[in-house]
Amino acid sequence: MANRYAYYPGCSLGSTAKEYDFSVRAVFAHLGLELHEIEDWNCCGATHSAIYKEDARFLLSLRNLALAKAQGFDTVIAPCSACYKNLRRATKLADANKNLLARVNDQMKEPYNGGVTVLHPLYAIIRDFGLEALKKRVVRPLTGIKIASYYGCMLTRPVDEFDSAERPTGLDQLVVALGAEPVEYDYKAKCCGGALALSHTGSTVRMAANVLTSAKGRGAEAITLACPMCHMALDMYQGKAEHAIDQPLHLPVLFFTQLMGLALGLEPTQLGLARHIVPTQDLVARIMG
Amino acid sequence: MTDNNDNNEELRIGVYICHCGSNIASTVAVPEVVEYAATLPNVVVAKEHKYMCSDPGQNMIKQDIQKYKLNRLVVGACTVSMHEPTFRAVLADEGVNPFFFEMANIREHSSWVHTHEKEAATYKAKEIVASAVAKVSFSRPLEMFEVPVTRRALVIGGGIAGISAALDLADMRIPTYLVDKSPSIGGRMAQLDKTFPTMDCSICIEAPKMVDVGKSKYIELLSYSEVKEVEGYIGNFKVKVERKPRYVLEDRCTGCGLCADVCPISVPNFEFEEGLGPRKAIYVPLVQAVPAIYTIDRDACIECFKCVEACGSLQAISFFEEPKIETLDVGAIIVATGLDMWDPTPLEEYGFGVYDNVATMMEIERLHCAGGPTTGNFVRPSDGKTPKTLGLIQCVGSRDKRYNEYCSGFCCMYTIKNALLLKWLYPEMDITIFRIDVRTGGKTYEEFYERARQAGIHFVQGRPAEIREDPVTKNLIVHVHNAALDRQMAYEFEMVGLATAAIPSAGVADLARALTVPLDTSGWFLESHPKLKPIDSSTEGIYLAGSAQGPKDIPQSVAQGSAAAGRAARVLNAGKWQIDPIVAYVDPTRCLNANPKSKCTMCAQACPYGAVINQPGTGNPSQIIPAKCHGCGTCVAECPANAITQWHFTDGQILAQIHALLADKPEEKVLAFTCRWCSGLGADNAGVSHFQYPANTRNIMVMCSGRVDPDFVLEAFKLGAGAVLVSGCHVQDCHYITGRQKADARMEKLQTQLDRMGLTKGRFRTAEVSATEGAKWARIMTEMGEMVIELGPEAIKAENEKLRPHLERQLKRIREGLDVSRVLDIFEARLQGVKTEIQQAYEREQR
Amino acid sequence: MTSELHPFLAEVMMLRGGKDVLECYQCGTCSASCPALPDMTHGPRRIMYMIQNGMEQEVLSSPDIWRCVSCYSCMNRCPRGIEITVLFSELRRLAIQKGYVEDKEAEFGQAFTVTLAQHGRQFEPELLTRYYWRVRDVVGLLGMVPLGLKMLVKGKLPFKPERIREPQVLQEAGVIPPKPALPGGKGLDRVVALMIGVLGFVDALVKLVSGKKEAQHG
Repeated sequence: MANRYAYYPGCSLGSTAKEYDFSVRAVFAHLGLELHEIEDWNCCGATHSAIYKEDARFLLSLRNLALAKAQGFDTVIAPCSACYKNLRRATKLADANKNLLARVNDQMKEPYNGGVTVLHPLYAIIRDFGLEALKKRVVRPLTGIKIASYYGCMLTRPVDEFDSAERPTGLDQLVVALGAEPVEYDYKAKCCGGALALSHTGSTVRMAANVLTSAKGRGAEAITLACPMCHMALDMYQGKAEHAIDQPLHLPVLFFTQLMGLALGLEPTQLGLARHIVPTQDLVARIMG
Repeated sequence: MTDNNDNNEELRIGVYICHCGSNIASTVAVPEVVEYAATLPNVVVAKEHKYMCSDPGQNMIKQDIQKYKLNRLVVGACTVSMHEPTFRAVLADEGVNPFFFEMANIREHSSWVHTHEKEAATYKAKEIVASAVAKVSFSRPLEMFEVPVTRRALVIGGGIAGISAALDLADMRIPTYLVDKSPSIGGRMAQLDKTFPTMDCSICIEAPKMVDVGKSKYIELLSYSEVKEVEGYIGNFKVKVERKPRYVLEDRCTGCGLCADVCPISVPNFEFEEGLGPRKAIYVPLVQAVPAIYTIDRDACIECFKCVEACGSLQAISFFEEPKIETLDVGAIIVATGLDMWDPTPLEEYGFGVYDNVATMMEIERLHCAGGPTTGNFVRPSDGKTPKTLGLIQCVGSRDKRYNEYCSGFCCMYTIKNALLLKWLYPEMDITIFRIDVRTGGKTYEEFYERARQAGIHFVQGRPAEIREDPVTKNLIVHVHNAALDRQMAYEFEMVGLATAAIPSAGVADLARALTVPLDTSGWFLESHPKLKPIDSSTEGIYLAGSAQGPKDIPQSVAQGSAAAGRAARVLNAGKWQIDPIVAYVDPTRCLNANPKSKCTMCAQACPYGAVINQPGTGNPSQIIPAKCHGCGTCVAECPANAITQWHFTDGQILAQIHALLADKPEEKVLAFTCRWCSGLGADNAGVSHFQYPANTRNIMVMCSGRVDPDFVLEAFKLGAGAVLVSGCHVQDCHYITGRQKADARMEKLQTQLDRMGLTKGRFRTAEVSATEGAKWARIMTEMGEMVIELGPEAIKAENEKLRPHLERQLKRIREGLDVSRVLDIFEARLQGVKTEIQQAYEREQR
Repeated sequence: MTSELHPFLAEVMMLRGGKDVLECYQCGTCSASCPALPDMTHGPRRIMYMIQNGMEQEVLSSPDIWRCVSCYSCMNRCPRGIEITVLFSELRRLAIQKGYVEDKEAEFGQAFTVTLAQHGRQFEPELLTRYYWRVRDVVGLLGMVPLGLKMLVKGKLPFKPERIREPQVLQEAGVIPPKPALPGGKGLDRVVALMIGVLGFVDALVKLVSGKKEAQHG
């Protein structure tokens, strides 16, 4: 089958993480995987959707799924871990709780009646394209670069069939396929604190610093990840983390699609690599040789 | 028995309602039920008592039997599993046939499940009593069958429970087979270093018993063997045992071990050493093995035949051995299959299998055992050094809803034991035990815990969330929330042990199926009654010992082994055993095969026990051999000519119950037919667990769902029932092998028929509820009870009216069975009478 | 066996993730797993105990429910299968409904939801305006200025909100309460409108000056 997916970028990919949006689109196009942005998609509500009303959590997710289905898709790609978790949980809940589904459908113009699968682009590539096939497309292997995969929380929790919640391997497998050296460290699936970045900045900085020092301590030269919120915490707040622990970190934080793009021979300008707060030039230069 | 028609005898029924302390009386208005019972036809006396099963209660009934010349007895109290034998004995004592008794279960089926609906529970209790009165009115006097008993026992499993049972039986000079699937007996106990709380050397106290088994002339040891098939009944079981090929002849091997000395292949010894030590491809799992016979592991063997050479003139090695089936005739069976330890790999946060120095407690046990792979040198796997710090984690996979919900019972104690032992061996070792609770329920167990604290072992109240390894030192960091400090802590240890859950032995599901003994929801063998029959299974003649029934420590296992031997000996020493005469009977005048042209084989096909003499084409009507009949009643429901009946569960009796339960407001009710063993016990379980469900539900119990004739269901709808359920076992658990299967086929057809007639979906259902699925029973009852309420009486009445012509057409032949027309005549006349009364009252009103 | 439950416990048990709170046997796996525990007053272990014992005031006014980072570690490991993370998010709503809340994250969550319901998508400048207006945290705002400027330079802050066709559908479905009940009131709305206007103007200006540059990414 031709791989045609509905694409749900989510709000962050239009603002704080535009480079993730660019690189997802570029890499998917390069691999011949079609992405079609869902028309008129809405915000999934992140962790705040149910703050006023319980059903809002599902309404916000199901509206997007209904739109995708109506626009002719049965698989939705959601690159933000929080969106991915929300949409994916909503599909499962819609299957399991018909009363809830009926209640929410009553409030939507386009009802959702099941039949949509939500995938994270990482697992879509692993599942639908395959790492062996990917290896063959690598033109700039990332040989000798020690990369720490950072999974964060909602990519693998609550647990589903794609990866382990405690010892996930998806990103590491990808890193290996791209020719780099994976780094084993304790904080790869621990929280970065991104959810509280504005209200309790201190918490976020503490948690982000834990992740960064843990990776750095095991020799990581860069971090790769798959979520705009994690990226915000580890990239944008890295300066604050350095300040808090009073030691330099200088760890470039790349979306996995940026790393893939570089290895697959795409141009850095296509991948938004200049948009990072922690500079990426040195790393990019090393890869470009 | 057949001729003893009680038409001429005047029925004199006594009804006795029990308060069961406050168990019944706090919900059901007992005096009201008594008052109501007294108005039922042929009831001569109705009384109540605080404890009907007590001596004063029983005496009251006995006196009344004499005073009122009672010939039938109904007791409204608890479940048949509890006190049916008690009250049958009361009748027998007074010279009345014990089968003139019915139990009305108003406790498990009413007061305990409708606790907050006092009125509805009382109303239901009345109808349950009416149903019992109706059934007993058509009872027949039956005599128990006597069957001979084969005076031989089978013990399955050669751990300490099985060994204890076998030795006790041997002491009573009862010939006993002891079957074990391993090459040696000994079980889990043989693997242990010391035992708590006495710190005896485990193998030192078990080995003599193992040797006794080997020496006993009353015990035949079938090691490396598995039970495959079981047929028969109490006193008369036929058991097929597979003897796996050892490739070493048992009668020639002397256990000298020269073969193993020359064998070039070493593999990890998973049988005994948890894979920590090696064994050869030709091996005994432990040096104290009984029998001391070698076994060849053909998966490891490279067929160099050096062992053949070493064995020399003994010629004990035979590479051509094949599996053999042996058939054993025994009178009783003891199941002592023991336990396995849970593999903690799925609990990924603990890193078992990822980190070298995370071990299971059984591995720790072998590592400090003097007879173990390191001769008692306690070292950690990563570097072979003795750890200076050790963390032990409790409840790994136990009390965990994701894996095993139950408490494994003995882990607190054996973790403490390992800690104390290591502390004695290595006083400088710093040991910390992480626990949720500490359970020391046993004689001098609490003192043992005290000793551990005195010895300086640390206890932390907190279940660790995760373990991480330091990649350089291979030490482990245990992350935990210490409750006393109310703080997140990270403890560093050189080694960590996991007290994993005890789980049922591998393969017990297949064994349970062969035995037709149910397992509980966790996979342990289910006892007949948790308090009063903890050793008996629900199948007579099969008994449970040791961890087969649930996790147990050594003294409990030994006690149960002896107890099971006693229970079995009670049968085996009796010479003859009485079994229930609730068998099926063919009315020769109605059997189609009385006509030589008939080719009917329905009953023979229905019978899983080959109890039918079926000779179509000869003009001989079919006949049922009572000793072979197990009394499921499946043939009764299958017979196309209504020629078969089952004593004590005649069509007439069941129809009488249906009529009694649906006499009043039938459209508001759910009528459930349950089997005796799974759904019946499941419904009881809901009661014992106090799971609440709507009170508009009524039960009729038969022996097997295979007994349920579609006519019963149709009759119920004809009478106006709101909904009908036929509930039995899960198909693989059937107590009568294939009864459930036959029921399913029949009910599927009936469902199609009812669908075609236009019955609303859900008004007829079938279900699978096991003896432990009380929650499921309550859920189904709730769904159906609420559905009937939701549909509403008017809609149901209207639909039933529409169905009536179809139902009547289908039910044309129902009266043909034994007793049936008599029962229906009586009930229909009564129904007519009620209608006339109502009509008259209405007319009076009009005037 | 339906004994009388404490009303607050009964209320929590009706919430998503709340039905199993009585399963908790205080093993502490949740608090051991929680990355936010150092910032909490009680931690999930004690919160569970307090729910079981009907301690409404302590639970709903505790900052803990606002310190949860939704990492799902506790929920993934809970041996009783309690959906702790889900329950914490439900407790947030209960706390708002019952007027217990005094936490900046509560203000952020509400600012977030209100903003999303205006447009159907998130609009960071408005979110920040609403949030800082509500918490009146000038120091915090100033602390964000250097990072904000960097983000602006790197093109990480949008100037114009993206709107879905009918955001009022979300409003009508109750994603946010009806207007009069919204905190912040008309004053805040006016500030937001002004801010959007100014940004729109800046956006147009920037486009005019360096239109082509924006078309190329990076």
